[in-house]
Amino acid sequence: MEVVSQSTQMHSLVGAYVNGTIKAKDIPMIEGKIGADEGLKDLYIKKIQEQEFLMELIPDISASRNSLLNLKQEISQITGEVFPKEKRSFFKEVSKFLNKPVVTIKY
Amino acid sequence: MNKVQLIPLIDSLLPKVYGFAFSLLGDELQAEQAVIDAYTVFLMKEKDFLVKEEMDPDNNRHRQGLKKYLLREITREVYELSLKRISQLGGKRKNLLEFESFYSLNLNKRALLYLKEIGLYTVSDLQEIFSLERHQVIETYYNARFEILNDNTNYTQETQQWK
Repeated sequence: MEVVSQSTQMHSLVGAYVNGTIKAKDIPMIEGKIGADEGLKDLYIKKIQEQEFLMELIPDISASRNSLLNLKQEISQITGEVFPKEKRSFFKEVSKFLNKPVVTIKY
Repeated sequence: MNKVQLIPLIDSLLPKVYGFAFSLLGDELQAEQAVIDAYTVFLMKEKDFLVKEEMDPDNNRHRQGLKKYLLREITREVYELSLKRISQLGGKRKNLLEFESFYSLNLNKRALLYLKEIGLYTVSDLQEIFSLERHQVIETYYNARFEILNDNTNYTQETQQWK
């Protein structure tokens, strides 16, 4: 009974390892088990193929050049409208220069 | 942080956010609009925080952290807005036949599956985006996976029978 549940647990861990839901601490253990056990290796290959098939079913559509350009323009405009206008303080600008000595005299 | 620093950061995230919006709404114009609206909502909410946040251009770690935060928050807004918009759209979605099984999933599952598989988000990132516990994220993800794979297995079996 315990053997069956252990094997089911291993199968679940291989699945979790392939799709990235596994906890970091379990990774070295499951990698070792897959390397050592032929059955788990076959299951791992099957899960990888299943994962590749899944990726084909999910749309990975990138924005067209025009869409991206439109978006960038809109974003820039919105940011300009929402963000407060920067006030350039005269004294702040001058103090930047005054932080460093303009002339140094070497003795 | 000022707008000159913010705009390039957001620009670099746009392809990712657009791809996500498209996966939810299945239409280019709707996706574009969702990204713009989500960004506007985000900016209105977080303006004060962003203005106060000092960005050190030489600190790559800080920049990456900020980028991750922006991506997560805008992604969350896109999801929230799409939830509202999808009911208004009804059946007015383009026929994306090759992704029919994906679009037959409900919006939560589509969002989670897309972000996990294409966006390469970790389970803890997804917890934050959807405000869910770890076990809820994993449960939704496995259900979505099961449904989409099962749907396609049925389809393949049926077409094989016809042949």
